[in-house]
Amino acid sequence: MRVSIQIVTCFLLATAGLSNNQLFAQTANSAQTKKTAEAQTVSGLVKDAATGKPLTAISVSVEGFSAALTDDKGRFKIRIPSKTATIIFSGEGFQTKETALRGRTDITIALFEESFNSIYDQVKLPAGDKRGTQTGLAVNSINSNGNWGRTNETTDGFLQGRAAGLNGTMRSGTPNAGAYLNIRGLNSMYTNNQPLVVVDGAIYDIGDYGSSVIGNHYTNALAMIDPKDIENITIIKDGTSTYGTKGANGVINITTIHAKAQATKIDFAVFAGVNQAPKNLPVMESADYRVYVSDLLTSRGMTNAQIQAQPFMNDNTSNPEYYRYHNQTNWQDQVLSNSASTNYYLKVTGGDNIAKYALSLGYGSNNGITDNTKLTKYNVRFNGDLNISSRLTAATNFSFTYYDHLIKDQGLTPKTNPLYLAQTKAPFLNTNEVDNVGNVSPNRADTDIFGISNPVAVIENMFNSSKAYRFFGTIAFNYKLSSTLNLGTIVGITFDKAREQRFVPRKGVANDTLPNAIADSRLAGNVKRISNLYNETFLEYNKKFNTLHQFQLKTGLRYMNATNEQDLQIGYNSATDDFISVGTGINTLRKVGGDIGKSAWINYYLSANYTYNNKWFLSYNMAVDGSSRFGQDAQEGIKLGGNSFAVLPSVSAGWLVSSEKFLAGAKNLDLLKLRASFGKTGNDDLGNYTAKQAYISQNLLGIQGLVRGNVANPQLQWETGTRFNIGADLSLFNERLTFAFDYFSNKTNKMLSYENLPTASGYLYAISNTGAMKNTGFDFSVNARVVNQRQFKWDLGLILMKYKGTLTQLPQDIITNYGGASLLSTTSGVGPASFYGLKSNGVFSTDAEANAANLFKMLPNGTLVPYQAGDVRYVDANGDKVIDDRDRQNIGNPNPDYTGAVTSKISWKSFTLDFLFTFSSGNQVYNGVRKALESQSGMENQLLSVNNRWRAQGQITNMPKATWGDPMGNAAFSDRFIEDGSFFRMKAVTLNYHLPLKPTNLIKYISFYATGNNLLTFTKYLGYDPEFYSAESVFARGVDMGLEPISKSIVGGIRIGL
Amino acid sequence: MKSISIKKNFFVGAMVLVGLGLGISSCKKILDKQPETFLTTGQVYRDIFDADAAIIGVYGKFMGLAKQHLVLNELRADLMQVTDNADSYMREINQHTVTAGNPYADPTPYYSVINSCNDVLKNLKIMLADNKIKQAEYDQRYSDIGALRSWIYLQLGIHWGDQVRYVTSPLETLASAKDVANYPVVTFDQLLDSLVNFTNALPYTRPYPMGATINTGLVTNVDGSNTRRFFIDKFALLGDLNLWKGNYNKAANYYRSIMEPVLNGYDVDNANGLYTIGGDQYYQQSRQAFASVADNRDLCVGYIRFKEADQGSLIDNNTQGWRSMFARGQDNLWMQQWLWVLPFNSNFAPENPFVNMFSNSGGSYLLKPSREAMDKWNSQTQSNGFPFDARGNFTWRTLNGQPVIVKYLYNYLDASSLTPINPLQKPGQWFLNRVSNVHLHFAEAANRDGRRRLAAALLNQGISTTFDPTPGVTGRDVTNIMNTLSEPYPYNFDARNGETPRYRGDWHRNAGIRGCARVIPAAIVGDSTLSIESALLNEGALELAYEGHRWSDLVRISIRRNDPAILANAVFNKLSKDGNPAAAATRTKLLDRKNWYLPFK
Repeated sequence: MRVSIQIVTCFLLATAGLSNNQLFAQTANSAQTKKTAEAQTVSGLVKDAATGKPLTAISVSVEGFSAALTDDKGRFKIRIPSKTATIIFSGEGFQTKETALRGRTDITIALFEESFNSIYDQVKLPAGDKRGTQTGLAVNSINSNGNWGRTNETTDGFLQGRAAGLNGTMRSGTPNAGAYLNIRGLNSMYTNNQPLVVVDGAIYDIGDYGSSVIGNHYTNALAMIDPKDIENITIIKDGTSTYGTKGANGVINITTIHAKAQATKIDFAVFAGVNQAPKNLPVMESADYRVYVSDLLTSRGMTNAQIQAQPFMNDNTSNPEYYRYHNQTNWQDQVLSNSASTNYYLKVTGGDNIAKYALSLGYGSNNGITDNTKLTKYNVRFNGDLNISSRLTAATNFSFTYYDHLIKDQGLTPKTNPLYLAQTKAPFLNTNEVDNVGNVSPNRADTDIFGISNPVAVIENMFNSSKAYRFFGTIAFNYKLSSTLNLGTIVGITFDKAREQRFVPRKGVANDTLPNAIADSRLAGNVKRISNLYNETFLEYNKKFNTLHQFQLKTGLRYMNATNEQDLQIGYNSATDDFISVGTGINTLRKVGGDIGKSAWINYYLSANYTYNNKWFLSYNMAVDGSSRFGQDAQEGIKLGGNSFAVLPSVSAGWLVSSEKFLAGAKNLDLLKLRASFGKTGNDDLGNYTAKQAYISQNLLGIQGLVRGNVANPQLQWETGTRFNIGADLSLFNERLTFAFDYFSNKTNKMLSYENLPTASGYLYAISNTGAMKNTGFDFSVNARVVNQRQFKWDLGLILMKYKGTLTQLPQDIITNYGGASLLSTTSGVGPASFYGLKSNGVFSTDAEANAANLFKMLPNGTLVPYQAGDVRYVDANGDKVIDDRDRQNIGNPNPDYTGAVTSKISWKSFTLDFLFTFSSGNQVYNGVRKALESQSGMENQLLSVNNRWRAQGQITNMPKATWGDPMGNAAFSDRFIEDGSFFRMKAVTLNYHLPLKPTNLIKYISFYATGNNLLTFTKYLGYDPEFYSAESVFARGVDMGLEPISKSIVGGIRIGL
Repeated sequence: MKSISIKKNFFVGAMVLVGLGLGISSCKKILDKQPETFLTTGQVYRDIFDADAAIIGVYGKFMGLAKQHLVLNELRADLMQVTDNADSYMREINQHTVTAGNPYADPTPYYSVINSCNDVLKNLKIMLADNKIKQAEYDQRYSDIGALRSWIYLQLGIHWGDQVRYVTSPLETLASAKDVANYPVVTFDQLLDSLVNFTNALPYTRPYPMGATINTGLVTNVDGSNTRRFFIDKFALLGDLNLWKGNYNKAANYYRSIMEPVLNGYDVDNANGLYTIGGDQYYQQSRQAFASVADNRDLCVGYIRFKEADQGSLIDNNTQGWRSMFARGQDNLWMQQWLWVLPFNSNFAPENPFVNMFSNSGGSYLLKPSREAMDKWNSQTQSNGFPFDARGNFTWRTLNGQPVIVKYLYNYLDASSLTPINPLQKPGQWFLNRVSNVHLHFAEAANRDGRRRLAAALLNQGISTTFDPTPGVTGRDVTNIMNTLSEPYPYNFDARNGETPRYRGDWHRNAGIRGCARVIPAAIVGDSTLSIESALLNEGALELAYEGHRWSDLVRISIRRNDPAILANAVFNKLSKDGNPAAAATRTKLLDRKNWYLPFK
């Protein structure tokens, strides 16, 4: 109560003052305008940039002052308020462009086609839509134009390589997995580093809450938006402080389709494609594998006779076991294969002067490259624009998406990941049961004598499904109180539910061991729900005085109430493999779990913008932010009504230098803008209840009691980000060459950290705001129209980004383990999350060499064992002659030096050829898959490189010997498995043939598409693919745990316009 | 005109915003989201059920200390040894060479329970002040958790010596958890003073009452166990603290309270009528009764009647005799012996750690009896002349050719074949305290308090025999013998057993620890105080091996006598007999008391 009164009073005073001033200015200005108006005009010529021909009916205007159209010779004459005014040109089929007169009285303007990627394009900012030139912020606008060619791409995947400053890393090759998006690198270790996504004015929750019962499955919220439904995506890299503690990582503002014209327009498209299975990893065939196994068993202490007695070593065909172990199976071929995709899409737009609508329907299926995986997707959207009265308008955006995804386990689930099993399964085994005389049964073989599951049984009989839907709807009302004053409100609702079902059969899959039972079949059900309510209500004031001074003021409040819930059931040992629902498991072994997280967020904001003569842009933004996640005694911010509120102001300034008179002579200079911004932002991703004292359940036998679970931190607060950005935009030769450069320096103070507590507290750590980090870098982009002819146009673009995160304050160094890798983060320049492992220096070739090195390994029981010939020669960093964790060093950095993209678009007559190349340079990757396939410690099949293993004294090799159980840690996490993850990839190439037909025809146009995805990749990486992102955590970067790899695909389609 | 409209419009707009602001903020709790998967301040400690839940929680957490407790108290001492399977951390504990990162030398788990205790203690006080619980309810619960905390601190003192942080604040906020003022460092002596003062002042020292008018939610049946013996015995703790401190009379006083159970709240449920023969139930409780020779329904070492000279007739099963106390259910006989036991149940966390530690089938077999321990049992002589102590047979066995500590495995192994009933079902119990330990400690206190004969009686052959000038003669008037009634409390025992006039003193069945174990009396030679004390120390090893008392007994007596060699030699004997080359060096090291203590991380 008191909170709102204070805030609103504050707001009232500020605005009332403004309103009075304006009153005075208003009258004075109109007189002045009259006086100057008659005196001045300017005339000029508008022509087509490609052909040089004059353009008719192009709208020419001075905002809020005058307007005109070009005549049939392309000439125009327009009144201007002053000789330094800015004139805006626009026309159907052409770009919007502005030019500052700089004292000129006769101007010639060349306009590019509408799809030209221009610096004058509209950007959609929280404070309202603007031309890209009219702001001091670092923003990019992407007009997706429907992204028709890349139909299987998710919205996040589509954004990869599209904007300087926005980095996307594909999570995996699984359909729908999408890309991990990040604006300008890391700002935090433990909170979210992904940008805020706003769709049609409301916050769109992209979190994947709770856990999945399916190995390494990610529920991607951005896959719920069909990119063909998107009109514009604006990437806001700084100046997001009005979003308060949700704006720390920038904002991606997505606007979906709306009808532009009243005439009914129908687009219908059909696509079909093929996904190509990746090239198999080169694993051993039976002959090599037998030799390997024999070496391995020797190291286990078995005699030659014992080894020869093994059923798989016996070469006597009359041996009853012979046929079972003398096959030649390429297991990777058994689980990976080419697959198909189809896609249908229908879009209808139209309406009348009261109501316009845009309706879309989509259906698609995309079968993954892993056998028996399939994604089926349905989506529908209905967007409307209503003119309810002359003052009241409304817009609705409703979308509903549903998908049904059949998937397999991925990553570190060695018993159930078919890909891993296919790599490691003994090649001499058969997919099916084989009898004593070699007859192959139609039944799939069970788990083998080595305890390894049958990958084909996993493919065929193990069942993982994720069925998810999301309803996301917003309704916005806008009431024009006067010509300058607007009152608006947006209500957004998200309902999201993902249901997972899992069944692991007993036949063909290795058992799990529970604390008190053996789990043969495993069953699970999981439901994850998100329900969010969002509202933003604002008052907006917009007024131009004297054609020079433009004020825009927006103030309002945002409120979000978020609930996410998970309910999970895990069962075991259903009666037979035909019982696959979780309820059929044994009662006593059933486990239930779940979580409920609720949070509320209130954000009061003020955004004040001032523009002087279209060339100076000043803005002040601030937010006062409260959240249920903050502790009561936050150190920063203010207290309102007993709650802690963050206060986050920012300022920005832009200067269109090119609009100044002194540059009137610079003929080839279209635009030069300098920008700077500085401000604060915050991150509220602290966990819903972290500040609170927790009493958790503790059992004593079957009675439940309560114990304290943490040390509460009432001082817990948002992470405070400081954002500094300077940038320049430069456009030359009538926009033929455009550059943008931004340097930024981000700081995060009060960074969330795990702080070690004294031993005698009884707790290991508490979560506190005791860290800090710095993140600096630059974004650079250049776009060039290399060839500009009527029939032949060629655009080339380059995006280059570099970020460097440095930890400046931590309560203590962080050593983390993730997916088999150790990661170190320190304030002394290592990290964030650098690989931290042993350094190796080849393999001891002789015992003498090993003895000379005099190195030891301590076994778990404390005995020191000397390294011998064939063992890896690790570097004894601390010089104590014992190789252990204390010898770990920084052995690689998963963060790239540079990332970026190259784009090329060639148009020739009705053909368009689009290329998108993405690259990453200087990042290291831990190849966890290769580690498993070169560890030489068990019966798992190995890579062909293992043939080069050490076998005899004096042999010089880099591959250590095969030893059962690897007691010497030859396959420990070390630089042996750290590889260069740099790559250059032809991400997409699209050929489009657009056949325009007569507008009077029923069919107005037909477009043909052919797209190739990921057709070429240049990398030294030895795994399937160097690009993946297995989890949202900072610590997951560059750790290859064996997800489904990115694959090549080809899609063809046709689009018909009615 | 226009100005008016702007003003009006502005006013309308502003009012809408104000209205909305009010709408949202009028509900004060808008930013107050309560968690639903755990509770937070304000949702706990509201009534007696919450208070009971807090106590259950503390004990649930306390069970997590079982493994570390046993490793520290036995492996550091002389009776337990590592096997080839043990990891380097256990080896370090075994030979007193702990290095950084050794999880057994990390006091954090102990402090984790202490923190929970502190939280409960603080909040119980608040509940009492707010009238949320009655005074009696408060007294029982506060004393229980206070005593448990003192017991844990005593353990910390025994193992970490002069580096213990005596934390009594619940450390509710991060600021208080980082405040060094909340972590006063105390020496072991200071710690003992604090513990004695705090624990002596606890308002309630009996066990939780049963069936009284006030809430007894804590004493109940759960998953096959009764919770009566789940909670710490405060008399025993008070006795121990005072024994450590050298307040012998006071210590004896507290121990005696246990030895007079009916007077002191040890309601042994007699409803089953199992042991009502001759009304002796009453006499047997907590009194270390002699064997029930006819049917072996007892907890003593016994043989089949009239076959005492046949080694094969040794009573060796899960329902009769000495062994059965580790195997039997919570019947009356069990209740007479056990003071503090927490059971492990396969259906609930935590998992029983002892199977993994000790068993060589279904477990990892990490620890085994030392040669020294075996020699101790083998050097005893039974009253029937057999040259061993049968308690050793029941404590460890050779299974599959390996010596295995079986005391903890009787619920896990089949009673006769001694193979696992089901390797994935690992029931067991954490044995924390029993009456034999109380008798030995009482005797230790009495011995130091000048009652050497009484001490020797409780150790060797019982009061009746010891205070009888002509034992074995029948038909006498026993009015003036077989008792110590001339002594003041707590040393006044009535063990008279005669017919004319008829006497059945409360203690007439007391047979002494060794009497019950059927071994011949320990010889008392030289300075009887020291001799008796040494015999008591040795008896603790024989009777209570692997029950978590050995290291503290060695430390206490070495300190009392200011003779580090007692401890150092014990460890030396173990290590040297097991062929550990570091034995001599370890002995030298342990001759300095500072080296008895683990480094406080």
